[in-house]
Amino acid sequence: MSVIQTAEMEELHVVGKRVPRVDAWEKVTGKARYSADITLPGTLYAAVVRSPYPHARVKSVDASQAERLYGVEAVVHCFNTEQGPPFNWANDMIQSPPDFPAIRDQQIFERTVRYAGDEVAAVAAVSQEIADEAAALIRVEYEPLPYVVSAEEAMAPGAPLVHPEISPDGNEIGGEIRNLSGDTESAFAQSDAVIEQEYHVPIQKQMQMETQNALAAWEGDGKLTVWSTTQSPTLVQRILAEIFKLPMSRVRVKNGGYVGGSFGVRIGLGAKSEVIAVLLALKTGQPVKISYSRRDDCIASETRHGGTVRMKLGLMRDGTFTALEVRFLLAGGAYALSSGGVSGAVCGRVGSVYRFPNKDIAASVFYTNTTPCGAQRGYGAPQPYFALEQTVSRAAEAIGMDPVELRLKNTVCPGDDWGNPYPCQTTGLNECIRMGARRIGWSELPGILASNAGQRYRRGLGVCCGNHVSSGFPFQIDHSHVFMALLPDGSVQIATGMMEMGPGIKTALCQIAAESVGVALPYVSCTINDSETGCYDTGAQASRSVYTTGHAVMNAGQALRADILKFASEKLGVDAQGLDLRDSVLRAAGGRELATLAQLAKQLDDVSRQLTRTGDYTSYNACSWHAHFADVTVDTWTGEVRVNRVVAVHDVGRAVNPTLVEGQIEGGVSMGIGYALSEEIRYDKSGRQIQDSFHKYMVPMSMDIGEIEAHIVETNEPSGPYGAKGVAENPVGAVPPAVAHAIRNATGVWMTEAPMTPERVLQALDDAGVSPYPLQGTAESGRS
Amino acid sequence: MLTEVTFTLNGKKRRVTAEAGETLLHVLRDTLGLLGVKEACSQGECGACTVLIDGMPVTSCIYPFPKVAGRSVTTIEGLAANGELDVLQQSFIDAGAVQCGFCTPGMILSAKALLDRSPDPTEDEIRLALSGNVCRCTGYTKIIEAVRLAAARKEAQRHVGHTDR
Repeated sequence: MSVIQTAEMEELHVVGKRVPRVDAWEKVTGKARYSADITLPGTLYAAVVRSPYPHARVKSVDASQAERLYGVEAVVHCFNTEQGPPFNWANDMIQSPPDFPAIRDQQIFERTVRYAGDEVAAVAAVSQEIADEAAALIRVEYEPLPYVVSAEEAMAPGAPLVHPEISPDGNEIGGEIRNLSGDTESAFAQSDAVIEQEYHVPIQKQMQMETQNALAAWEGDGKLTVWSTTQSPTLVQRILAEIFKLPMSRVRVKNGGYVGGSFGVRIGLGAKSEVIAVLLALKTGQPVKISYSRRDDCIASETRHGGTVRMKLGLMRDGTFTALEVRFLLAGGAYALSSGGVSGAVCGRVGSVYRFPNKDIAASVFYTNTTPCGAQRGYGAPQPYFALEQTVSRAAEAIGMDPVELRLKNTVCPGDDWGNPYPCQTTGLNECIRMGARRIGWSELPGILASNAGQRYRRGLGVCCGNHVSSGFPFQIDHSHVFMALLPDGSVQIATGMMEMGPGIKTALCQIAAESVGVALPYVSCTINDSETGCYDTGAQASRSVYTTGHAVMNAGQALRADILKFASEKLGVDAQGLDLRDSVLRAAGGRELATLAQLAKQLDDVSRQLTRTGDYTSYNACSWHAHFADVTVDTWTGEVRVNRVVAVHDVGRAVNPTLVEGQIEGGVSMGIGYALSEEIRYDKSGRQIQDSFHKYMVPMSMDIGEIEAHIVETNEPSGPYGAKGVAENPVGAVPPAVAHAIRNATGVWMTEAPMTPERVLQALDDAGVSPYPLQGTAESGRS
Repeated sequence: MLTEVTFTLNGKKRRVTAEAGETLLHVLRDTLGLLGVKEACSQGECGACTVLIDGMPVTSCIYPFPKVAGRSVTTIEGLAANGELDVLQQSFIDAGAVQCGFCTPGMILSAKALLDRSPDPTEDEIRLALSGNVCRCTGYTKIIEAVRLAAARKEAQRHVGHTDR
């Protein structure tokens, strides 16, 4: 809603404007196409057989009845599929740096299944109905094995091993990640106050609207084309090339035009959708389409990591933080995916918001026989911030200081040692905190609390702040490249390896191109979504699309602009200095129009020339910052929590398109409200996922969201294109602790477990003697 | 078992033959090529497949195809008459209410059903009318703004005597 600048910033012409999305027309008319919409002549349809057991040996697969069914073209399973070198369906497989390689522990089908949902066999048939029927006719003989469904079970001595071939000594995925600095033990001993608390954070699911799906087709010349829903077409091009032993130049990965959301569920492969489709296409010689049902998407594509966070924070009476000790214990699911990356990220997020001279931060992730855990929007942030921000607010109470003042006193400043392996060059966090406090009416809190006494509905305010990255550097190999050409009519065409899953990067890249070259926006087009018509790009993840690919576009555009001005000055016999190219019109220093870009481009073509440039982005990183304030009402009779309003203030460096940035903030807040109040995945005693559909996994609907007030602070990040940093992931992990703090203020109870469902809140109110209607004999329901 | 069903689709009378047990969603997408109707759960829980049947929003993924006999079905493809966007469609663009676009067709149709019967809804009424459509991208904020914008624009059109669409 408002945009505030804290640094001197040049007014730009296209960047910074609320330009309508370039893809909005096709989406509101239903003309936008997604991979789910694509079929080819002769397409076969796939159905998958999944293990009902959380851990089992597959003793035999009898596909004879299925194969006899009319219309069945192939059945593949662990006994007739070659076991190649193991892979990892996450982007980590090829994005992990060489000195910290990803764990590869997956096959397409294996003779051991490790979670309820793990793939056992797949059928390709002439219709989806026949494929489903055939899948039901496949007889699998399992030998069930003992299993573990939580990190605590997995780490117990003598626990059944999920991957004895990878971790023979226990279920820990990789080693413990530990960040140490200073001497926390002495620092705690010398602190005026020490806060210690354990928190429980849930497994969350992306629940993107377009489920995993893929279409694989072998072209006549032996090239493999795969329509995929991946967030990174060129990464999947590379992963598939490696798995199926093809040169990358013989693999093309694209999507139907757009992807229906992702939120991290498919940064690398879309679970096993591509590999199963490719395998069946190989076997049958025909295109094969696989579409995950919503249930398959829930149980067999990656979730966020849940677990336990133990935190200890020390501070002095004047509010100076002295020490931070954190232990993360996360359940990783049945395959490693990005567990290494996430355990590093939780450590990075928790230690980089405030100045702590002494830190001891460690994270461990354990294999469990449950849906594999990987990436979700806010990668590694909701877990630490739920703990850190509540602990900071508890600390404020312990020393009698306002929690907003306490934060302002300790937030990281540029130049501070913040634990990240790159400097903090910009932070608008304090401005975000101050603005948020003003907008929520923080000074009115005492009055609000006073009017709660004896009321059924009690209102409170809460605060949270934090940061997030703008790329994967240096923990991931991270780069983006583009190719830019001036066409003979003055149009500018850019080839990128980006893809559009909703945030609006296609629009933002066009704005950046228009700004950097000086070409009018209608004359700019960008390729996205296709590894063959684009350049190598490590994809739409880590909130990096503008910061990295946008930077490559800006670099190419500025170089192309210089080339154009040089040609113009030679052609027109004028000094290049003072020439200005804007909106496709070239003007002299005084403003006199000299030529249009169309004329210059034609003049180039007349002498058989075309101006082209490549653009590269030099791997780097910057943190974007946020402060959220939540206004919440608790019904003390039912435990229901209503988030009346969230004020979300974000330092994004520069908003390339404020409407798009607001969209990311508002959508992220909604996912955060879900994390805070209703979303969780649990497994029953037989290791099966309970919340495997929309009616069991409660994502916020329109009536569950109150007012969201988004504000933008601009700090002009030197390493970002036009000063821009990321934004998309920040909001998710910010909301839950702000809501928890508001509940504390409203009712006096601290909620140490998310989601803060009515059952949990009511139990906490009952335990604290706050609920006027004591619970009687409610032994099991809602208890964590 | 094949069945022949006569119904009105996006303003045109159609006679379509399909399996009697087919859902309306699959007939619309697979037989009639109307790919703007999206499939996201197949259980009637998310609203992505919403179409209007005699002006009422229906989850086509669990609606038996033969039941449309004699009725009028509207999909997102039926909204832009003569290439000109419906007020709601334009408002969704202008308010920034579109991100991934997968919920958009169903969301617009649910909003249309609301505005057609209740031209001046409150924010609560809008949220209630859209409460069967999941959006995972927008947080609903700009979608609500788009519907209010459309309602205001339609109101303005009525005052100037334009044909209501």
